Amino acid sequence: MAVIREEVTINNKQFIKNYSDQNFYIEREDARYVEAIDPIELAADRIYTETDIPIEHGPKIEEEEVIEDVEQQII
Amino acid sequence: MGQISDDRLLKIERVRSAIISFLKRIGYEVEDEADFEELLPIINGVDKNALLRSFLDGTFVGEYIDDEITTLRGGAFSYIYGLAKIEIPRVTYLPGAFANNIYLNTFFVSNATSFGGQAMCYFGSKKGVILRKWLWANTYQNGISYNYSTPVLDLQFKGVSTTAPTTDQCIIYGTGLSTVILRSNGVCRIGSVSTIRSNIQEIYVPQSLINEYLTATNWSAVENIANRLKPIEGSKYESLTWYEEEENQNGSN
Repeated sequence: MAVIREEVTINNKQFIKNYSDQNFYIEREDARYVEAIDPIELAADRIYTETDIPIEHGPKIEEEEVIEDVEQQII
Repeated sequence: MGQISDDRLLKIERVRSAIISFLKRIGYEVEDEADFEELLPIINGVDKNALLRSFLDGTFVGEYIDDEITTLRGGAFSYIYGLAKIEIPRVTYLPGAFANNIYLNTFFVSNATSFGGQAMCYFGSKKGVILRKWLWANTYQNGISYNYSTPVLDLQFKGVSTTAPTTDQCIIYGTGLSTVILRSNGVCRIGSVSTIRSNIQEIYVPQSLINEYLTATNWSAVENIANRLKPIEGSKYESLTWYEEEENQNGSN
């Protein structure tokens, strides 16, 4: 279990991306994140730790298919 | 035959008016001057199960405006496709799945202070959603998720949780959302950069927080964020009742 830190480029700017290698939330200063992307100049100050809380996901695909049918009926 | 006193006549008139008012409220067209002979056949024809049946079979068409109701059951309005408006100002708890898979024709305004699991999953509101006592925590795993076809989302917070919402269950992840108003005294944390989809063109926050948002975790990496963040102050959304003015101007419901 670890927090992965990697440099990423978004819109031609450098950032540091933090995320759990085990799909857990990460946190800093009592705030919890799925992933955390910070300006590279702030990366040294923003250190994240991994929680033991797994990242939850939304309803399954099957429900989305039902919803598409619903949308076609009402929109 | 004795004479009917004025007092007695007045009471009869009150009963007549009350019957007419009731019939109108449940959808019957009745003349204000209708007498009892005209009213009786209508009363006899009232289908006491009609409203309930229309909710059960999903054929209800119209508005649900009720300032008496305080408690809803789970799934209360789900799949009522013809529901154009819900106005339930005394309801403080929106239970699980209370309004899933519906698409209102107007603003949905709520002062509810708590929400059940996926209370408004796949919920749409043609003009917008106004939540005045929202808990940021409810954007994570509970509350509204997959909100679609809702152009404006105005959130006033009861409290700001430190838990950032997951992207795929986030209230602000709606595909039809173009404007978000975040009336929080602190930065609303987001769990992922992709929480702020490209369709969200305007994000209104307090002027004093704009610089903080620009360097906040994940917010800083949102595409073109500097141009999308706008101050609430001086905008049409500065007034908490902006939606009422808009509805009055359009004369819509």
